[in-house]
Amino acid sequence: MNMSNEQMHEWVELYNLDLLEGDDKIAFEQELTTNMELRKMLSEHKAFLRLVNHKTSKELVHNQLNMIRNQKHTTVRRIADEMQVHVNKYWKTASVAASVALVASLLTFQAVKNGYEKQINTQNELLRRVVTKVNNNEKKLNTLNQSIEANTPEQPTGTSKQAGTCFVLKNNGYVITNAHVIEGFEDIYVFANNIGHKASVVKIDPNSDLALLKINEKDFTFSKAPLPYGINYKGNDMSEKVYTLGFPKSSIVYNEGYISSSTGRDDDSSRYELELPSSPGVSGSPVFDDKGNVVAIINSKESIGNSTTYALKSTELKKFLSDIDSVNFATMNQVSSLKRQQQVKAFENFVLEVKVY
Amino acid sequence: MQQSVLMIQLLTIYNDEKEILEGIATGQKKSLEWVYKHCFATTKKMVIKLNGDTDEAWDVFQEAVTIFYQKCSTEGIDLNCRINTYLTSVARNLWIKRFKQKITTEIPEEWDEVEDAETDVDEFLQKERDLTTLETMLDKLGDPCSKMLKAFYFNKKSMQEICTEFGYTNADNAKTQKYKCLTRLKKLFFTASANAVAKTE
Repeated sequence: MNMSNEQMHEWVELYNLDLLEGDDKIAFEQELTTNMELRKMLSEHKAFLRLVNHKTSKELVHNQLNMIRNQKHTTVRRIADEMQVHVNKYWKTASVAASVALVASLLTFQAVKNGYEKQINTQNELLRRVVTKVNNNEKKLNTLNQSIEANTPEQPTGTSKQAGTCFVLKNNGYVITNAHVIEGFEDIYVFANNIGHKASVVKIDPNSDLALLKINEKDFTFSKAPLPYGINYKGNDMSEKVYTLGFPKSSIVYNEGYISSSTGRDDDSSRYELELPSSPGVSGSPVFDDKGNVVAIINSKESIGNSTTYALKSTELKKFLSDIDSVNFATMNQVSSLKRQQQVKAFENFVLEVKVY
Repeated sequence: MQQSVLMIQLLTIYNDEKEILEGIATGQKKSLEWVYKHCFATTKKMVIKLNGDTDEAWDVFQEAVTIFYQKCSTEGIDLNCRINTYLTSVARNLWIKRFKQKITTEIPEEWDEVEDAETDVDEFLQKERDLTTLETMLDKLGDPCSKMLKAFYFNKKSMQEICTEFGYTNADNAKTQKYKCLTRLKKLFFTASANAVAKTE
């Protein structure tokens, strides 16, 4: 293709602004594959625009932030200036009056400041309420549809604040998760088959990072089938192959790995170190051995890299449950002779997503 | 600095800051207000602990938010930690890189280090150096070239406005002139950065 450098440049500019359309765009991209000159021009122009964008975005953020900061400070400064005037003019004769003015100014300042902060708060709240309202209506509609089919419990409203994984400890509504997933929240919902069930905290221990929850509904059962997995409280060996199920997204995800150390970070003997990929959302996931026994509960990972994961040993779970006498958490492994796929299939109804609102 | 400081990340999904992230990505003032209100204090505390003062903390904070904004608006919003954690980690990296000689106290080992923070800061500092070179070269171009390019690229003026402002008879003339100026600038800039790279190697 024959064109001057200036024409080529115009083409590059249009392409970068995404203003080339249809055949023009195809022709340009076609030309790029063979025309070295054009390719160099494009990459240089991109580098140039990147710096332009860097400068403009930097200025935008700096200007906005300075404005925000100054808004908060001008009230303070103005009142301070006024006070200065008062003091200089009358300090000999009216020190009493000055101190009255000072108190008054401070009060005014406090009032103005409070007013300002309140304003921001209400704005945020309003925004939030609008969002919730929309969600509410959507949810209501969904709930309505569902409750026609079955008697569904009341569903949570709004967007969830945090989410993690939990697994069933007893069919009548007990689940276990990490304390950090639900700590500080009251609206806790466990999701089984896309239906949220409100749960309350039976016991929480931030030290061991465990929490026992119970579904609030009367006569509740997760499944008619007995709990498929057992819990191995004996402790497991390094190099043992393990797998897990969890909720890094809203559907269940399988992952596998091995126990790489019988202690966690800084030789913490309450945890295993696992070589097993994990991502946010899997806190509270059960870790299974080959036979389908729960051996640990995932709670954290190294922030760098993707696969060094830490899990609380089942012995910690045993300690945690030891003072709850009223409930018997014993369970019999139903799947030890099954293949992994079949085990996972059986577990699916018992490893659930937990969300707080 | 190699990332020797590791941090354990809890594996919960955080959703409550999603609105803020979306606001930041589109440069909304409300979101920036939230960031100022909730995050500046931590950065300030950190900088002061490492021998800085409030003004310096403010500079570092503004740059950290800039990095955050650029990240959100170009790479999309995907942050798997608290906004405050990210900003503080970025601010800390910036402060250490810029003012290493000023820091006399030992840098505490225990600190929430976010995975991307250091790369993001390095990228930012490289862009800052490049921008300085670019602006020096812009000044070297002299007027009207320099003024015209600034008007078009930095102040986002239209070709029509530039036409009247710089007294061109028609937009085509102005365009040709702009092209010539930009070509000169790029030549100066890319030669300078190639030299800079050669020097460091």
